[in-house]
Amino acid sequence: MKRILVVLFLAFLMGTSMDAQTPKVTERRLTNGLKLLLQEDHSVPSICYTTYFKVGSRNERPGITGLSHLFEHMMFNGSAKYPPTVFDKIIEAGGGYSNASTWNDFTDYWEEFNPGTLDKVLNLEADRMRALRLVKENIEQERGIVMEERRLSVDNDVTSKMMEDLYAGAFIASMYHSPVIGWMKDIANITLDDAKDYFKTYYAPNNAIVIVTGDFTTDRMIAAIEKAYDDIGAQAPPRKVIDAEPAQEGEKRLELHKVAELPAVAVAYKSVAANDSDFYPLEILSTILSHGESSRLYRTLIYDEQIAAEVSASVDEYIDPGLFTFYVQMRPGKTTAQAEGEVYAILDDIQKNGVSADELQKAKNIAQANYIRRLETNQGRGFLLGFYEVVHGDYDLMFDVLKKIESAKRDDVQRVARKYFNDRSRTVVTLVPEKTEATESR
Amino acid sequence: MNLRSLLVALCILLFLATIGEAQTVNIPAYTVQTLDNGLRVIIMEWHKLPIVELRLTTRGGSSFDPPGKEGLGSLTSGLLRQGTTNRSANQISDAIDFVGGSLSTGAELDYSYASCEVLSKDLKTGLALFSDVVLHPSFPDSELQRERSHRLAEIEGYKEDPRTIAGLAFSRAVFGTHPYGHAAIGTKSSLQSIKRDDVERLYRDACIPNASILTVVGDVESDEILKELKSIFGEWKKGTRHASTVAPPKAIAGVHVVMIDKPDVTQTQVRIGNVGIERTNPDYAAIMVANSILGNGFTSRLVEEIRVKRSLTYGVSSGFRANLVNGLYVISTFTKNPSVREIIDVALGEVKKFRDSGATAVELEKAKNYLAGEFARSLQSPGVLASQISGVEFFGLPKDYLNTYIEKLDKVTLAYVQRVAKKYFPINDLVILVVTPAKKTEPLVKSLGEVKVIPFDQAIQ
Repeated sequence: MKRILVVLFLAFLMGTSMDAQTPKVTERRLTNGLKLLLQEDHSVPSICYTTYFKVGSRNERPGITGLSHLFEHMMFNGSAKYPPTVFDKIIEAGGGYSNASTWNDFTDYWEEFNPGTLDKVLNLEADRMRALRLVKENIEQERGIVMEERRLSVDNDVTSKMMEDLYAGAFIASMYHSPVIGWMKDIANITLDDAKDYFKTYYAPNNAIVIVTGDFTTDRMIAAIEKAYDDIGAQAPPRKVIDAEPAQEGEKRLELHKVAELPAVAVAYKSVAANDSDFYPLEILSTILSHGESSRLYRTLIYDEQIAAEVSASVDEYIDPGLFTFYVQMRPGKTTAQAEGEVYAILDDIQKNGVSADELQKAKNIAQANYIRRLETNQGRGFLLGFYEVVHGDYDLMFDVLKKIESAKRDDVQRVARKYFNDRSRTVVTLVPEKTEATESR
Repeated sequence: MNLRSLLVALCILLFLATIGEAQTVNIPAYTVQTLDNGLRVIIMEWHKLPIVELRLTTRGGSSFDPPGKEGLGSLTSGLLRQGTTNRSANQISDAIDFVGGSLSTGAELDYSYASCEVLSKDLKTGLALFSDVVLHPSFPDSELQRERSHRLAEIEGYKEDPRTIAGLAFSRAVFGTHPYGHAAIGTKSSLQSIKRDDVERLYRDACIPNASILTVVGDVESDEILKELKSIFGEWKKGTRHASTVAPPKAIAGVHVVMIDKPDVTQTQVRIGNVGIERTNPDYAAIMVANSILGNGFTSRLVEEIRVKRSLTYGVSSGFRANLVNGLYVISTFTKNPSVREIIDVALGEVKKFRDSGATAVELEKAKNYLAGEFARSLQSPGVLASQISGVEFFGLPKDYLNTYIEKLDKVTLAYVQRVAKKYFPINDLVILVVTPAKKTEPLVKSLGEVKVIPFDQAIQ
């Protein structure tokens, strides 16, 4: 039954250009618990091989924040059969590339390569799941690199620092409190034993999903993966993450004093989990608020009032409830109080009067166009299959997204605006720019 | 995730063979024709996705900005979509957002562009908006004021970001007063000096069919779309091609250390380089191969020595930005402040070694395959295809340029790599620019060459 729905749905998306290459998803589970999602598609003689591990900063605890991300780096540093740096060399020499990313809820690795490289990739991937080379030298090497990454992307980036404070301020028990990259002192103090424990628990086959999209034959691919991974033993399942976040009972306001040129403000409301039925109306709301120059925020704060240099809004799509966030960077001489006033007035208006039929239709059209764009590469489909499997609990749900968006009514959007834009569950971070010490040119 | 990067043209056939064998890429056929008014029209049918990309490329980008009015080209392009004789700025953004499309305009060094992407069912809307902003902009004074104020704020924001500061200051340090040296956005004072007349004049003089290329890639029927384009763009009045040309910039001689002083940063941004190459340089493919060995990809020498062996950085790369008359050659990286000298020394040591000893056969083979794969994958979206085939036409590259690029990579020999390494990767003539707390780091770098210190708020004006 599932298969047929998938086929029909893609047929609808592809319109007239449908042919015999309709991608369908085949699902398997190996005896060691490794889940496979395979989508055969011969349009391009290329394969994307994606591995999701169900671990991210959400699975960490105080003292080891950033471990999931540090681990992502370690995964390229050699395994039993392959010395360090060989991984990328083999992939790149085959005309491919590899990369990985760590998120709150998962860590994903992918390679795109020509089909002739498949055996090599399978060996590399299976070997690092079986026996990653975890030695002191490697962890020290990656520690230094990650500290530079943190200096680059957070410590010397004012907006990222504000967002870090926003999540740390909004959440007190949820692990979304801490940044994916980790606190600097945790990065400095993570031990080899922490890493070994982590590997054993979270990088076990029963905590992973392999997603292959592109030019291959499904039966042969299943056999090849079985052969490569079959001897890797399952481990006890990881401890369950409890979202212990208590209800927020009042607005929290924080200030960040940092060298900067323009004041800015970040605002967050507590939102819902990705698989909550209110998620899609909230996503529609974020499109109406912030997508393009016709959006409510852009039109008011940048175009009409001309008080902001930059505006954005988005809703987290996480396993546990995340945030609905706003960011406004002011123009010179404008205050964050003005921005807050305008943003709250917009939210107030939507709560009272709802959104227009045109706005709702626009959000639906944007969702459709974006969805088509996202589905079309092997890599894009591989990412989405894994994302829905891990974050929403079932890859098949990705094929329902447009239906869910399409079914949303103006009342739903107004209802969620009323329910979640509640000033008692609001957190506000205000950037107070400080001047740097004066210097002279020479 | 960057969603645009996930676009793919499934109809492009990538005959990717096994390791060690050459890869080829077969670009879908396209036509180039010139209308009576001189407008060159490129059409590529591409039916796998219900998407269409429209793109206009017009000669004259930020390098044509008159001295004192830097930013004029970019501002003029930006204002195209802020009001026409038929639609207000708000009507334009309402209409394009409603169909989930994109409509953007801007100025690069050598050209200005307008581009629009829509689902093919919305092509009519897309084409109407795209042609309206290109052909009938009205440049309302209120929009000019609004756009200017927004850009002035943006420039202030640049000062907060060490990477942006480094990029802009490096162009300035290498090109100096050459037209490639200023930021496309201009400066606060040059933006203030731009009047509505300047914008109108630039549009009238530069945005003419006989200096433009109109490219359509996507789910269209060639004959139908050509007829439509002729009826819309055929009436566009021919003009006199802009007389001014940009002279090639002079390379920097000697080693110049430029310290952009930003006392609060805990990490120093580093840019090392000089004037590079023009887009039509006959050695282009060999330079790309050489550059890949030195600093492009996860297994380049710079990554190996600086990131993997020494943990000095999270990212390091070398590259060439090739334009009409030249461009930048630049090594980009960053490290914690106390390591600034070490990272510069290691990077330059690698360049020297590369110049002296060239590459190995294994490195050469890997670089060719890597670049071929990267090139093939990059051509998977209609947006990239449109910009690539427009580029071939704009820069006057041979018609089969894209189809033969992988062959050209494949022909590069070890001797050729070493020859271009010596010629295009300078070691004694360089700008070494750092965004750094100068008081702390000057003692570390001052022996590298003549040092100039510029406060960051003077580097970005």
